[in-house]
Formats: sequence, structure tokens, C-alpha cells
Amino acid sequence: MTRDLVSLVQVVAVALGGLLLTGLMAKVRARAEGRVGPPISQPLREVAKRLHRESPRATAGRAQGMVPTILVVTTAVAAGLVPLAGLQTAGRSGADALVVVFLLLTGSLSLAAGGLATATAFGGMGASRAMALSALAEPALLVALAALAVPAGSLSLPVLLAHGLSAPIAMVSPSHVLAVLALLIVVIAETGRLPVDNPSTHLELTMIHEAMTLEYGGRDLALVTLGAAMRLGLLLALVGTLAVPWGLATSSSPLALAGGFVMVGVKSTVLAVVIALVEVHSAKLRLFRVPELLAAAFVVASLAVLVGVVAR
Amino acid sequence: MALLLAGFGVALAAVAGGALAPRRSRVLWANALTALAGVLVGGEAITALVTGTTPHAHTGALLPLSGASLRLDALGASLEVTVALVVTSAALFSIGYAHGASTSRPAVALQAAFALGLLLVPAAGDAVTFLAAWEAMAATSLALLLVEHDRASARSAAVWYGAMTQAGAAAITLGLLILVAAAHTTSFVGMAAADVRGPAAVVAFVATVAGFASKAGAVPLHVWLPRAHPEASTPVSAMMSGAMTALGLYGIARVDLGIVTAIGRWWWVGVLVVAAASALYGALHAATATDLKRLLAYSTIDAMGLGLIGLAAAGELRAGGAPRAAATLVVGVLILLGAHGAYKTLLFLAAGLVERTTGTRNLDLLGGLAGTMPRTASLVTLAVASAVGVPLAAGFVGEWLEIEGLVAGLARRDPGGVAATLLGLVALALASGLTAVAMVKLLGIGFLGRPRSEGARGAREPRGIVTVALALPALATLALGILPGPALAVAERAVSDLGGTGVRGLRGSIGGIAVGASASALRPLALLAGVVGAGLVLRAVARVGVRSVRRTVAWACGRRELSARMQYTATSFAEPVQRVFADVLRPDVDVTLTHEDESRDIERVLAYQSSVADAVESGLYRPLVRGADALGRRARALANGSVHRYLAYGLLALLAVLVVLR
Repeated sequence: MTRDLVSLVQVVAVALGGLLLTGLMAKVRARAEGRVGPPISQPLREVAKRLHRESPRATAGRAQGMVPTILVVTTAVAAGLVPLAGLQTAGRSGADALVVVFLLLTGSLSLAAGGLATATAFGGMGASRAMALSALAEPALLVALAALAVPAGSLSLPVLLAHGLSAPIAMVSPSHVLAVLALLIVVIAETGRLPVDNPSTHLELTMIHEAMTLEYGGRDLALVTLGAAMRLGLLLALVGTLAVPWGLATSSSPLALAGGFVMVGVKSTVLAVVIALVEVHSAKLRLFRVPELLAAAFVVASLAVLVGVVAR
Repeated sequence: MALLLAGFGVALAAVAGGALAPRRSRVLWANALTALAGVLVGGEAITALVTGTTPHAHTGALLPLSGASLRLDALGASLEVTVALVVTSAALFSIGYAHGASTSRPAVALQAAFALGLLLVPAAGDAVTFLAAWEAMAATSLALLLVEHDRASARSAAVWYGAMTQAGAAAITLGLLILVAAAHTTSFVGMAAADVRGPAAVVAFVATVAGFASKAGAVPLHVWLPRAHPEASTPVSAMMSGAMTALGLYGIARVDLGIVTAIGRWWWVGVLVVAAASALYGALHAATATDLKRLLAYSTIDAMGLGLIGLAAAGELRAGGAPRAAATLVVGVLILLGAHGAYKTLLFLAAGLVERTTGTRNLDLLGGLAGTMPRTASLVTLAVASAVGVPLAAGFVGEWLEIEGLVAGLARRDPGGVAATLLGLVALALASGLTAVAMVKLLGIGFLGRPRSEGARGAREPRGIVTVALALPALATLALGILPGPALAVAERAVSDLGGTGVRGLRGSIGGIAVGASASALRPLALLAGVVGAGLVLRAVARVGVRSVRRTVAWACGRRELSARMQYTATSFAEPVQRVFADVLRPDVDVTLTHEDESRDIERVLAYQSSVADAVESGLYRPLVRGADALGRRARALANGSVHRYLAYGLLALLAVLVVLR
């Protein structure tokens, strides 16, 4: 019962946290650039406002309406099953890293299909670019996860994290550091941040994520924004926890769990601020230079695996 | 055993029905009987798997030398279930679909015979029966390509396929003969016990792997596949792709993992490299293809490449002292083959329906079919979900097991072995990413958006039995995806048929499956509960606010309306992938710009043409064919028509034989 309750709290926390982190990153960027910027709660307010609006749809089929739901549901299920606050409270569905990866992939695929469903050039353009980049990001992602999984001997997140807690020195091993670095690059690509995609642009030639969602409005758009924010929150929390598992509750007492939630919040906030500061100082890469970045991530991840073997 | 024999009897009756029944009832009789045969054989296989028995039969008659022997162990039965599913779906589909040339007497009879051949291969218990069944399968499928022989492309496909399949069969025969000679028995059980070693094992390994891999479409032996699949009639291409290619991998599992166990691990690394190349090559071409059936054909090469990665890595891991990881991989491959059989059959059959109603297979001319063919579109969506590895669909289970096996294989101390396993993992990851591109393209361009041609606009939803034929693999996809436990439990016994040890790490139950000592687990039922729960909550939340939906016109950049031609097409969708991988694909891109007569600055027509030919075919086979041709021309000089010269040849040949046999 505690387990399901914690899962539920996690989903809500990831949803709220994701929206607030999106706002925080915009704020940090604005401040660093000498602007005041919108309040941190801006994305939250926008989603809340749009949830009550009617949804304009450009096409007759059901596809466009289903996409936001699929996106939010798959991300929510993924957020519910990972051990964010405590090891004991991972979801009942096994908390396997691959399940999380493929659940998130399902969301991206449905978003791309939704872009094509709107029958516009922009939708197709965004879908085409997003799919090409996600295909190139997948080797780096899986190999980096494998590098993290090998020492623990399991892709199951609780097992993996418990191993990390029991051997803290492994957190500074070259293999671990390289794997986390590769994961971070993949996360930047998958959440559509600079230098891969500019989250604050509506300029047609540079859009990826925004292009796919251009024809969405009202409640549909609210759900898409929510889904994207949840994905950001979940991935940041996950990378933060994988990089530094300290702070995870090892018992399921309410106090320990609350501490776990605070810790994971702190970790993802730090990551978000770092990414936002990096964004201020970097320009968007040309689309066809992004594969080079992802290839670099892949090389780093492969190195992580091989260095791990040599060190063993 | 009774069910199995009855099934084969019914399949024979189907062949007879196709050959003898009058034109009106021919299609119905032959295919209904084939479907029944599929159900009977599949039923026997499932019974054998559930009860843990191994039905077998032997007769001294029927085949020369050793007689015919049938034996359905767990490995054979797992494949038999897949084959039976594909055959049954294809046969049901044919009842409602067959038309024109494919209702002719030979076509209907040959299709039934092809189905019989497919069903026989996994049930064969010895090398001779296996070869006979294999040849029956290969020869009938070759003849089926020629059903529409008035098309030049079909004739050319048949020549390619004929050359490849016969060369493959020769290689397999050679390999099996060597093993039989070394083991002094023809039965697979006896051969496995004989433990063949030395150069004989190496030659047999290379020959059989080459032969079986060409059937499974491994690069560079894949060239027949993208030609044959689009040319064969729809149910035949479904059977070729869903069942026949899978039997190529079955052959590798049966003979090379099961019998040639003493082979060095580096041979398996060689196979792994080939497998990785084919998975990537197939996935890349599938991502850039615009012809629906060609896309599916390349995606078959991709899927079989993934399967071969699993088998090759399993061989290497078993020899490298990691039997548990190897067992996980073999089980993963068996489940992957089942999942592929189901979703690819569904996709091929749906492609046939789309071609029938719209008159085209070109994705650039399709679109909007979700509106006109909603049922087909939903089923295709499910198949696509399985192909890209969406959790809760069958494909994910196989992929999950395969990745778990590979990651377990990484946890070794030996850098060479780890590098090999890493290669497999990388190829699998990139190929699965590219598969997602191909499948989203198939669904998004073909079925979503707006129709791009008159044909697509006028599409009609098919009625009747063809829908049942599509629903059957869809059901299997869901069943295997949501309840993988039982399938895992039986696939596990297949590993022990290969002489595998240490399958203890795998556990299957109703709730899900688990791998390894520290239990990586996949629990689809809990996942399903989560998805349903989240969906319900979202619906309830949505009820609170306004829920109205308004039809609008998409933003048209200031114009009044967008035309359907302004949508992305399959070609433009794949352009980024094509550009990134230009070195491998070598696309032929042509941009022609014509100007107005008055001014060079005003352009009149801008034509963009892009085609991706098979680089392996043009780079490797064209020179090969040219060389053989040139050699043939040279050899003609030897035969100048002079009888004296021919007598001299005879004398020289006789002398040579005498010298050799001295």
C-alpha cells in the first residue's frame, strides 16, 4: 500500500517539479542574460489555464487527440515506477531501466506520429527531425545504462542504486563518470534543450519539439506541455539519482521518504540550473552537427563500458 | 503426435484440393484446409510445450536411406507455434483476398504446399527429413514468385531468389552431410551427442551458417529478399517474411548452437559482425524506403539481424563461460521470432489490403487511411507498437530479454568478449532506433495525415474474413506482450534442447518474467494496471474542465489553406536519416532546376529526385554476375563444335581420373 501511495506521490511530484523546473530554467537563463524573466510558476499557470480551454484540432481523425493522453500516461507510469525517493518503494512493475526507456520512447513516438497526423509541413518536419535524433541517441543511452548496470549486475533500478549506495567509491570511478556524462548529453537531446533544440524558439527553421506541437491548442497543448515537463523532471531526477544515489531512503518510514523526496528535488534543481547556465553560453548546433554530438556521447558511453572491464 | 500427423495430412489434402477442385471452390478448399492444418499443428506444438512431452514418429518408408523422422522438441515446438500462427493467418487471408493469377490451379496448390513445407521444417527429427522439408519449402516458394510471370520484375526476382536459395540449400546439405558422416547418424539427437570436432566441425559450421543466414536475409546474402517480398502475392510474402526467414535462424539454433557445439568462440564473433551489419543495413534501408512492401522486406532483414545478433552472442557467451547470459539470449530470440512473425504477418497482410484498395504501395502517394480504413489502421498501430518495442506488446518482451542477455554478457573480465558483446548491443540499439523511424513513417505517412492521391482518398475498409486474418496475429501480439510468463517458461526448455546449461536464472510466471540472480524483472500486468489507472485519472481530471473540441484549419502561413501536397512525404521524412548515413546508403539525389525563358533568376520547375539503391547489390553482385558471364563467354571457346576435340577432352578427363584414383 505504501508502495502505491509513494508511486502516486512521485507522479504528482514529477508533474509539479517538471513544470517548476522548466520555469526555473527559463528564469535562470533570463537572469543570466540580464532580464527579469517570467515567474517560475509560469509554465504551471499556463498548463492550468489551458486545461480549461477547448482544443482546436486540424484533422478529423482521433490520432491528434490521443497523442497528448498517450504522452502523459506513459510518462506518468514511468514516473510512478522508478525509485526516486526510496529503494523499497519502487513501483510494482519491476522498475527496470529498460521499461522506463521504452515507456518514454513510446511517448516520443506518439508525439512524432501526432506531428504527422496534423497534415502540415511543420508537423512533419518536427517529427522527421525528432525521430532521426532519437534514433541516434538510442545507442548512447542503452550503452550508458549498460555501463552503469554492469557493476551491479542488473538493469533493475533499485538493485543498481542499492549497489551504488553500498559502494560509494564507485561513484567516482572513471567508468561511472563517463557513463553519467553520456547520459546527460542524451537527456539534453531527449528533452529538447540547447544545443540540440531551443525550447524558447518559434522560428521555423530551428524547431524540433515545437514544430510537432504547433497545431495543438487548449487542453491538448496543456497535456503536451505537461508531458514534456514531466519527461524533463523525470529524466533530471533519474540522472541525478544515478550519478549520486546518496539521499535515497533505504527504509520506508515516512520521514526517510520525505527526506528522499527533498534530496531528489535538490539534485534535479542543481542539474536544471547547471543545464540552464550552459544554455546561456552555448548556441544551438546546426541540425546536421547534432549527430556528431550524439556520436560523441556514444563514444563516451562505450569507453565507460570498456574502462569498466579493464578496471575490474 | 496424432494432431501433428493429422495436421500434415490435412495440409496434403489442401494441396490436393488446390490442384483438383474446380476454379470456384479451389481457393476456399485449399486455404480452409491449410488454416485447419495450421491450427492442428499449432495445437500439437502448444500441447507438447505445456505438457513437456516430445512427440516423435519414424517411418522407414517415404524417404530413401534413413526414412522420415518427425520429432517436436521444445525448440522445434516454439518455432512451430510461430509458423502455425503465420500460416493460419495467411491462409484465412487468402480466402478473402486471392484474385487473378493467384487463383490459378498451380498457384493455389503451390501455396498450400509452401505452407506444408513451412510446417514440416521445425518438426523434422533428422537431417534427411529436414533437408527434404527445407527443399520443399524453398522450391515451392520459388515457384510462387513466378505466378505473375508476365511481369519482368517478378521474373528477375525469381532468378535472384532461385540462385540464392539453391546455393543456400547446397551449402546446408554440404554442412549436414559432413556432420552426418562424422556422427554416423542422421538423427539430430544423435548428431548432438556425437560432439563433432576439428576441421570437419569448422567446415560444417561455416557452410550451414552461410546457408541458413542467406535464408534469414543476412548481409551480404540478403539481395533476394527486397526483390522477392514485393513480387510475391501478399499472403506468400507474409509467410516468407514471418515464417520462412525465422526458419533460417531456427536452422542456426538447431545445427550450429545445438550440434556443432565444439566450435571456437571467434567463429561466433564473425557471425556476430555479420549479424550486426545486417541489422543496421536492413534498418537503414527500411527507414529510407518509400515502397510499403520494400520497407517491410528491409525491416525483415533488420529483425532477423537482431535475432542473429542474439544467437551469435549466445554462441560466443556459451563458449566464453557465461551460459546464463547465453540462455537468456536464446530465449529472447525465440520470443523475438514469435513477435516478429505476428507483427510482420499483420503488416504484410495490411499492406496487401492497402495496395488492393488504393492501387499503390508508394507511401508518398498514401495518407489519411486512418480515416477511411479505421479498423486496419488500429491493427497496424498495434503491429507498429510491437515492432518498435512499446511495452505491453510482444516485440518488447523479446527485445527486453535480448538486451538483458547482452548486458549480462558485458559483466565479464575478458576484454575481447566484452567488446564483441558491446558490438551486439550497439547494433541492436541503433537498429531499434532506426526501426522506430521506419515504423513511425509507415504509420504516420501511410495512415495519418491527409490522403496524397485520389487512390488513397477513395480507400475502403475491407470486410469479412480478411479482418479476422489480421486480428489473429494482433491477438497473439497482445497475449505475448501482456502475459509473457508462460511463453518464457516453455522457451526456457528449448534452451536445454540445445544442450544449454544454467537456465536457472530465468523465471516466468503469470505476473511477468525475471532474469538473473539479482532479478531484473518485467511485470507487464502491473504496468498495464498503471497505464489503465493513469488513463482513468486523466479522464476524470479532464471531465472537470471544458472538454469541447473544435475543428479548425491548420495554420497555413498566411495562405488560405494547406494542400495535401504540402505535407511531409515518406521521402522527406527520411531525409535527415538518409543524409546522416549517406556514406552507407549512397543515395542518388538529383535536383533539376529549369528557368523561365525571360530571366535566369525566375525558376519555373524545381524537380527533386532521390532513390536509394542497394549498395551491396551494385557493389558486390554486379561484378560477380559480370565476372561469371565473362567466364562463360570465354569457356565457349572450348566448345568449337569439333568432335575430335570433344573426344580429346574425354580422354584427358579419363586420364585425370585414373591419375587421381591411382
